[in-house]
Amino acid sequence: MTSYMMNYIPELILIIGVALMVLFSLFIDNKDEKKERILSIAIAVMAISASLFVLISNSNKNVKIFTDFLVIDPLSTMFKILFLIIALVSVWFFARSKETNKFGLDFYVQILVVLVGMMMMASANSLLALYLGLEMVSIPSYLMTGWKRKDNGPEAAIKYAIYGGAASGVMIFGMSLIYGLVGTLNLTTISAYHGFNSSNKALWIISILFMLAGFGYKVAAAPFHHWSPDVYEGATTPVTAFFSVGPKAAGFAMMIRFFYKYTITSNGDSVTHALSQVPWTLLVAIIAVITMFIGNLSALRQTSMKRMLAYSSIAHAGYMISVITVSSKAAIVSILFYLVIYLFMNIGAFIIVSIVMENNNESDDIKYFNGLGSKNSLLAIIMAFFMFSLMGVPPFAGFIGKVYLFTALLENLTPITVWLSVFAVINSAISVYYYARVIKAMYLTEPTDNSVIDTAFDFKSILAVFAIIIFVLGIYWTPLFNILSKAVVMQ
Amino acid sequence: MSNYILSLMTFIPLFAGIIIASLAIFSKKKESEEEQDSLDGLIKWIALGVTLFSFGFAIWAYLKYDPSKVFALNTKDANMQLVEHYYWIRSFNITYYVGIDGLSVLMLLLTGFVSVVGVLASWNIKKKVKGYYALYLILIAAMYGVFISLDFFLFYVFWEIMLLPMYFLIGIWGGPRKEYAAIKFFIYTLVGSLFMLLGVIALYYNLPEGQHTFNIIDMMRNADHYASIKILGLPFDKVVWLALFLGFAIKIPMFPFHTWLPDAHVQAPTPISIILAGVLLKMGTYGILRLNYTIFPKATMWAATGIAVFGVINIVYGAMVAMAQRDLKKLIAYSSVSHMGYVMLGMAGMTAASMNGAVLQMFSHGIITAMLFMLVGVIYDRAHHRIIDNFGGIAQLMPIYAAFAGIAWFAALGLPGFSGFIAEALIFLGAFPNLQPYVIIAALSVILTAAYMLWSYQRVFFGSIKEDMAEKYHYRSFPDLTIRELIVLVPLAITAIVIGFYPKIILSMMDGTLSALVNYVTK
Repeated sequence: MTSYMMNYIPELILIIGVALMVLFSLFIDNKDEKKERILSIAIAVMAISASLFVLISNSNKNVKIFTDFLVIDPLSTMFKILFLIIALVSVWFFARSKETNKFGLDFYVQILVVLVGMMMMASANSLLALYLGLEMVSIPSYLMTGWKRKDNGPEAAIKYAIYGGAASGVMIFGMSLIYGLVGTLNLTTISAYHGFNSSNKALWIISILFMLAGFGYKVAAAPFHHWSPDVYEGATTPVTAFFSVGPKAAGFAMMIRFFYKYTITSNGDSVTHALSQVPWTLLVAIIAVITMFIGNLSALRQTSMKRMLAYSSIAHAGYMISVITVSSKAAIVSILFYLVIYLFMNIGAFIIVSIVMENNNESDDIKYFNGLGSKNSLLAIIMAFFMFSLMGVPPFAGFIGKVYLFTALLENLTPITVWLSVFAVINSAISVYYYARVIKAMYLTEPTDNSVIDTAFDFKSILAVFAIIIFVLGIYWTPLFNILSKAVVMQ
Repeated sequence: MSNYILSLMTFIPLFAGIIIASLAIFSKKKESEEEQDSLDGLIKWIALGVTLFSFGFAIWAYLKYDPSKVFALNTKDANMQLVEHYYWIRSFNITYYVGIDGLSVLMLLLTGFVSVVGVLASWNIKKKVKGYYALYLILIAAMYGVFISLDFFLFYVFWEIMLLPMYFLIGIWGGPRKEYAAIKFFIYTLVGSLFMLLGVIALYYNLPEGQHTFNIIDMMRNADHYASIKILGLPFDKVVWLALFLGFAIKIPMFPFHTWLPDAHVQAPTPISIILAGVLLKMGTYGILRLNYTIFPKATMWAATGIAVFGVINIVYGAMVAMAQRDLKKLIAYSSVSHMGYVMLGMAGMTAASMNGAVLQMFSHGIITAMLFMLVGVIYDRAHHRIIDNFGGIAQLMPIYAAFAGIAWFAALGLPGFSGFIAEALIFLGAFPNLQPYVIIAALSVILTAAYMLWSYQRVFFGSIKEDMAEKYHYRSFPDLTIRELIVLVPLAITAIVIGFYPKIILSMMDGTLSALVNYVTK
């Protein structure tokens, strides 16, 4: 048992952080908000960094813990490292953004809980663990969405909660069907299932479909995406930035766990798996195509930057979901690669949106980007980098990310993957239009007013670092690729 | 240093562009007007120096190129010259692989020449000077990069990088509908190149395990393998041929993908029109010759008639539409569509003569259209409109201008003595054995070309001065060509005439390469 606990240290550190925060809240004078804030940020940063340190120094572990309930393998560790980096950036953003810098201890507790949930999703080796992780992420997310918002925050939170409740209800029904079919919740045992026959095939398809509802809800895939634009718009910008990458990455970790469990051995070879007789690749492919089109076509009409980025993140989820159909090591590497790049370009874009909002009465209308090129040329060029990278134009990292997605799709020319790549290309072209609108507003349109947009030094430097990462990874990405491909080892 | 001619030619403008861009980003706005002006003046000279430097390197490459060593697959680097080959991304087998043959050395020369002309033509730009030259130099660098790349990934990266500066150059410094033109250009080209990207990746993966490569020469060595496999039950080489062709055809621009061109040309500032027509359009046909022809010889033979059909449509349609234009710049834009049709016809002819004609036409059209757009820019600077019917009798007011316009107009319609004539004659002669009906239609439509060129020249330059218009647009106060404009126009005119009388300086460079290419494709 103690050895189990040794392998669970990264999560335990976060849980201790939560406990400490709750404990301190008993002793701190409620009126001293500043002290409370500093304390909670300090605990959060320390817990996350310590957890990150432990993970990085033990990244080669490959064990199952808690009677096969969770797996600690290089892939899950890599996802956890990704989550923690996202969390560190987000904590900085929460602490510094005007929208969220009044949030206190109880808010940071939510973040740590969400993190533990995300890490459980990445490590799950049991349907129950998947479900627990999902709910641990979802419930604090509802709270974070509406946190101290006056206008449409609570509405978004309610919407999110209702969608989330329904989706996880459907998902757990799917799980119960699988349990009924196989007699276990353990993913390893399910993957060794050999009892397919024509009578239970329909039931399998239904249960996979129900599972997809849960996955689709978490990664905001159509037709389970309706919550996302409202939540992204209603929540404070730092929270939106966090949602657009963190839980989404966790959703992908969970999908990879569920679908690939059966397909990839520990040395990366593909094997015929238990689900091979169920046409799940076709189901996932259909969801991917619908997601891409809905995301991109809806983004075209948005004038709110946050909604636009919400739909754009739906579209990007579509590109990544399409790769799930491939079941190869290259596919997992390409998803990880894309998530890393997506993290920088998307959080970066939200940071700039929040800076522009702070200078324009908290409005995220695209018209406030007009003339940003002459108002603040540094911010504008960095935003242009992020937009071009999201479009997938070289020499920016987003292009390399897309190249890897396409290579994963085209490695084996099956009809599904060829058509998926064609649809992905068409969608990339559509997406150019709405990203270019931002660039057009910044550079091609004259400023509508004489307001000055400026920001603090740490914002500028973090943005500059993100932009440099996006640029450098677009030219030389071998180190990142090597790290990620080494990590694709699963239990 | 002579080992790095190609890299220096490409990367010096790139770094110069990036440095000027950072100056533009970090320069403080509070500087006094005078300081700003002196820095901007300096940047113009720097841009001129950098483009001259690269042009010098292009000439050096031209002089160093040995036309007797022709394309041969069984030699190392297939007899490409001035080769540089390094690893870039080892895990993906992407290399930095550059080199030239008789085709690309001419394109480098054209790029160098036109880019210097472009800087001189942009001397009057007053708006955001630093940003303008930064983007301009990055654009130039990407164009050099496309012409030297022998690694498909590298080629694609340069091909795409070109889009970004072009978008801003049209979108910020363009005419009244610049935003529409810029985004249209961007989306059209990007759609094409995304399909090309799929093609590239399919090419990469459909080699035997362990041989995956983006190396174009190695892909050529596997041409038979590509021709033997299938994709979704269709022949692999034909499907990928079409995917690549789509990307290039949009750039040419081939009917029906040409509609971005008139918008982009009309809205773009004069120097950008010069670059666009002078070099950018040639990238489409260059890409087809460099990639489609070499990697898929069989599919190319299958598609040759198709290229010819679309070439003829371009010729006739471009000429017809040009005839109907009221805007002088739009007329020249459509004449480009028509002239690029000749290039396609020549390429489809599949004989050494027609191929030589096609590439000579690429070169000569680059020179002549650059001149035409410069001339339109000259009159637009003065009159601030380009409507043909509002002119008349300009020859009386600006005789030197009218003389240069005469040279350009006659060169464009293919008068003997100018480069365009040699090119078209070679195309018709060379393509006639294989493509008789198409050549006959194309040769007949030379009359259309003559008609729209002569008619427009007559309406602008001859006849009596229209008094009401002269009053309204102050024609009588127009100065004739300035020294700067002459410096731009004289070398262009001389080049067009020199090639017209002595085409050997160009033909001797490419003949070996293109003959070998024809033999390779038709074998």
